[in-house]
Amino acid sequence: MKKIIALVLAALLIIGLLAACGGNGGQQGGGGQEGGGQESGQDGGETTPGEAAGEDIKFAVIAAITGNSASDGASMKNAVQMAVDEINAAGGVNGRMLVPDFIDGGSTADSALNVAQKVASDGSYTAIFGPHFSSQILAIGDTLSEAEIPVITGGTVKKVLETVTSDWVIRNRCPDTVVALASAKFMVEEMGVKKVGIFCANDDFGQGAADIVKEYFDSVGVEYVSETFNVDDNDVTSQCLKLKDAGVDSLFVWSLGTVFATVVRNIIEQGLNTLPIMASSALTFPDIQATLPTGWEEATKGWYVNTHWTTDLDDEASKTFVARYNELYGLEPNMLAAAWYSTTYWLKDCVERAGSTDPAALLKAMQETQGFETLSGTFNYADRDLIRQILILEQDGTGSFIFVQKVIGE
Amino acid sequence: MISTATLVQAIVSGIAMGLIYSLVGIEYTLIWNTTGMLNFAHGKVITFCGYLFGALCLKQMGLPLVWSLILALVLAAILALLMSSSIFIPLRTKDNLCCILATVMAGKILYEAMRLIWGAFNVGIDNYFPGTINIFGATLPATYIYVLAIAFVMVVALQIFLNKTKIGKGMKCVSQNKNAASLMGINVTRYMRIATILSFVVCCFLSILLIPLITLSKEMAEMIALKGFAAGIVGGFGLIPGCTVGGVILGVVENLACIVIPSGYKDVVAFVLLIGFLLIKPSGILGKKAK
Repeated sequence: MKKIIALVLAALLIIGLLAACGGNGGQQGGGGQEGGGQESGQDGGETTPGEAAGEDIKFAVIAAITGNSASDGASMKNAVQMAVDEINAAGGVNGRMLVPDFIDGGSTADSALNVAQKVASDGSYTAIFGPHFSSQILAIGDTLSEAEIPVITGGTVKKVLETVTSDWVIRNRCPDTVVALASAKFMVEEMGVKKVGIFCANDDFGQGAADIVKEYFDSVGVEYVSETFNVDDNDVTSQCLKLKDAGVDSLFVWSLGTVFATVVRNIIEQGLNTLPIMASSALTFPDIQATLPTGWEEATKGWYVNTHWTTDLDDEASKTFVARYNELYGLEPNMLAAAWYSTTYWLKDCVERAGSTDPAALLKAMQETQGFETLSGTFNYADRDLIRQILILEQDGTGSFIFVQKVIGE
Repeated sequence: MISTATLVQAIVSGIAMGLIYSLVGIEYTLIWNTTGMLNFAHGKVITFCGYLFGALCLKQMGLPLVWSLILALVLAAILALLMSSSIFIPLRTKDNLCCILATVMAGKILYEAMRLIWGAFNVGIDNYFPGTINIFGATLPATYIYVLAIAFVMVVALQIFLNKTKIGKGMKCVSQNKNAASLMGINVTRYMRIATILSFVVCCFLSILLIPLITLSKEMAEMIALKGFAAGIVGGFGLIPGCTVGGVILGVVENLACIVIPSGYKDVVAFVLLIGFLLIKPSGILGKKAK
């Protein structure tokens, strides 16, 4: 009897959780949208109807659907799905429908490795979007490029630029080398800093940037003190105090994800927020802003950030994008969403210019991209990069960002 | 040159975080002592309770703090009943590997349930322990003082409950010898359920203490769960006073170490301490050597 009760309770636990899963409030988005998207787990998806007839243009989207970076994966998935729906509703690409195959690449290099071989050997994809993260493209870039179809990634840390050198892998974000260097130059030339506290995450993103700015500060004779934090730290007060004790006159704060909110909170608590600060794009992410302490807008007034795009940009395309994204998913988009939305439209353009989905022809069209206007800026292909421009913005005290400078990298 | 403010901050925040590690150690010790199983889902349970409290009760239902706390505790107790009846009690006599896998999988189910119910994005919760205080020139978030006080009261209350009340003594009997306890008329499975409920209630309180310190995210308790385990080893595995001592030592040592070594190695300190104790004194500070 007790065994039966235990089994019933176990079944109830699973059913309850699955039922709750069904009640998703729509934050994930994508899955419930109209359009041709499909989602497959790590074991792969089913063949898209119509694919056999060669009508659809199927492409893989390796997104971090699960794991620590699932919020970024959701942004990527939402944006691609939104662009695909718009393109298909307007008649598709040369009359053919775009069909994204969303594949969960997880949030780690290990989980990306699990799907890489399957995606590379599938044979039905025209292109591969993702993985977005440097750690993942570092792990699977070679495997994906063996498929000899274009792979588009958001991973742009120094190590990616140096080691993932296949022509099949194209980057849709400005290289971190350009972003970090532009930010450091701005600090010296415009902010007039003399002793910088370099406060970066202890990961590829943070340390890649730290190396670049240290090299630059050394070359121009600016003093600096460096402190790091782990991406899963829940308190960085001791690092803040060490920077305070060192007498820094400014901060260079570089990280992504949840820890960024912790770092900002501790900086404010220790009164370092009044120093001139250059921060990474995370401060512009609406999902990160939602987790910052009350009054962050006033506390971070005058902070500079660098980004490709924010919701505050005044152009018509950005306004339409924000309104439609909000309508569909009930969320404000972030820079990552804008990047993948732009990339989906760029894929359409490339297929149209190539006149086919032949991988070599498509790659050639991609490499010939010049002056393609997107939300993220103008795509000009050069040495596997689509974009080499970054915006420097200033937080105005209300949570909005004012345009200060556009930097175009070499 | 290290300032007094830095030193004070390191010690106070170290004790506060240490007491959190202690509570983590205590909550898994409660289940270990009564069922003989390690709950590898405990980090996810803490996070799930945080989402029940913050995302469901405070944000979605808009309940006041106290009602949110009460409802979250009730829901945590229901979750404890479900998990004890489906995992801890039926699997307690099975192979250890079977039990470990069951709790790991339960953690995965909880994690993905959180993602699917409340979305992939972190949840912003207004700090309910706001403000800062100044101690010997060190500016500290008031959150630390609240955490320190509440965690201390909880540790003491749990000690009194386990040592002075009939239920607590019953749980102790079950942990010492299940067969003898059963022969003496103690309903062993009932006490296992009570221990699980108590453990999950502690998890719920832990998440409520953690939310103002760190963002409510699905990864909020990952490192804390591991350090709570380390606290148990350092203090004495399976001993509730040991978890308390181990947690505080761990919290203070890792904070003080960060003053002299690069802060990026903060987590390394805790695990070096763990390995050191496993090699030199595996029974922990308060544990007795097995004969």
